Amino acid sequence: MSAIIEAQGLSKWFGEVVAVNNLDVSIEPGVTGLLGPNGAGKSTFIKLALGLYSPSRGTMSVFGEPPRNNLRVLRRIGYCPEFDRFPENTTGYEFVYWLNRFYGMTGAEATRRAEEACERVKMTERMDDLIETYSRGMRQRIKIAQALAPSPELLFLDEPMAGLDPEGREEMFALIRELGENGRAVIVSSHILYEIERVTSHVVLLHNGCILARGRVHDMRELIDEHPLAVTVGCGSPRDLARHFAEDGATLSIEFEDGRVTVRTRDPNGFFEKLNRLVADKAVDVTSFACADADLQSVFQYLVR
Amino acid sequence: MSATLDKVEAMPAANAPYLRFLAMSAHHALVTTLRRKRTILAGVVALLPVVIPLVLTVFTEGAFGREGNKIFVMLMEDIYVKALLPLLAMFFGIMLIGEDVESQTIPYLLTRPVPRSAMVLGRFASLLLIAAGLIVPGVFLTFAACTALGNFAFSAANLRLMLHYDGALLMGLLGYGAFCMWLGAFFKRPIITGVMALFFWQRLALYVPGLIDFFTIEKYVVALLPPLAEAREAPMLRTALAEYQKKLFLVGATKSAIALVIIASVLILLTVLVVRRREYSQAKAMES
Repeated sequence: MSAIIEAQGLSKWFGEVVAVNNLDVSIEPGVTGLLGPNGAGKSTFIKLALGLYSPSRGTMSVFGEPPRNNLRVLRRIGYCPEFDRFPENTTGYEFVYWLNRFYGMTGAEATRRAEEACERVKMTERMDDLIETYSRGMRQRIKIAQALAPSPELLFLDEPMAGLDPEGREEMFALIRELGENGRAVIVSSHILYEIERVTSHVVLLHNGCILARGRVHDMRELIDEHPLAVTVGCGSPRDLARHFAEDGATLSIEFEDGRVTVRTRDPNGFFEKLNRLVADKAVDVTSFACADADLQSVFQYLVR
Repeated sequence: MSATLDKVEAMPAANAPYLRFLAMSAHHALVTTLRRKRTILAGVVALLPVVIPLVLTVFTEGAFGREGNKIFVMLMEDIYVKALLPLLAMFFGIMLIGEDVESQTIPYLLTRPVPRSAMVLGRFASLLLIAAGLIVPGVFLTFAACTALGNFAFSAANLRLMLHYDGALLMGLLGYGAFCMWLGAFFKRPIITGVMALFFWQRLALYVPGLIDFFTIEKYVVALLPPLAEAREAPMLRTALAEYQKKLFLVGATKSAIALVIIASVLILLTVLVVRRREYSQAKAMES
């Protein structure tokens, strides 16, 4: 398979801050995970591939061409950014519609594709409401809709799971896998290994702007499994939730704090599967959850050593 | 989120025509600008001069009340040309690109395969349409209100005078609009820069000896005003040398119109270059 994205000696710095440092990487079709802690250079790498930045040194090519101000390349790309920003006073439908028009679609085609994309992310009912009235998860869905609407060959999803509820995450995992199976190239960035693991086995591990490792998730998992993952879950009855995990052999510790419980586990997959089951069975009422970044940071520090 | 992907076909490989992008960009800017609350505010501001002759009609008597022509010229030159025109250009021009930069939504647009020049030109066209849509009716209503005062009527000569002012204002809009659009694309705090340039620098340049007034837009707009306008300037504030130089290097209406077109073209070109070259997400990346 020929590479869709190729970087050679790619560096990008902002003043004295080096965001990406001498990267040599080629990414092939299918789903690829960009994994790294905050500040690792994931978003900068994506923005270089999108042509939003020009390299400070080295070269970057997408579909064999430099992406900066290259309309031929941009025509084949979709992008769901990590930032939670939208034009003011705009409905979800209008947001997707107008971004479709910027792909050069006619009004009728932009309408049809906007409706289809909203349907695909289950936003049809709320698509005519102002984005200001959406929850974080809905805003995330509408961002994904605008990226999917033109059916791009290459899709960049920067932290796509941020803000989604457990059900939304599962749907997003399925969607990304489906896109990959349909022959599209998808680059997914995340600082949570579990999220990447659910959508692909190919991963590029970034740390301080450098590639730390590249290959199959399974191989990295073995290293990372030595470090527990801390998950903080907000719910109505933290003690009930804790009871379900207390007997679990993989659970290392449980802490309570203001309607939240933090579970440190050696088996993130098992933990999330169990949590999903509990939510689906309505055994617990989960209002939020987050994975502590510090754990991944410690894993990276471990790998760097 | 997992409906069948086969339902959505891939985008056709051919590029859309440039004119479609241009029209779409103008349409988009028009729709979004007209929805802003500040557009309503701008409309109210543009119509404020209409109130002045109406108030004068009610509250003045004697000779002052019979000078509708002078009031109209004063409102056109001192209010519209020197204050409202740059103000409206700032109001709409800066937000054309600057608003997307400020709200950090510009990456959505810059990752679309839309020619940057079409995006900039389309937005500039929408600025001209909206600002002209406020200025032209405002001038007409001011004209109509002034006819309520004495010595001014709906005559062919007066209507020609009004159209002359309309033309000068629209030419001024071309220059000021392009300048403000460039400010919005180039500067981090375009409003401060715009106020400094249009309301301090221009005032200063017109009263300082030398040729620095050539580096103002107002010089060329004023040169387009009816001849009556030039006689109304207040030379007592200027030095004798400055006045002499201004007369020596007087720019005629034709040259001024050409100058405004050149200024607008250069600034639009610069805006396109800025949008193409600038890394708008850089500040955010550095923060993170």
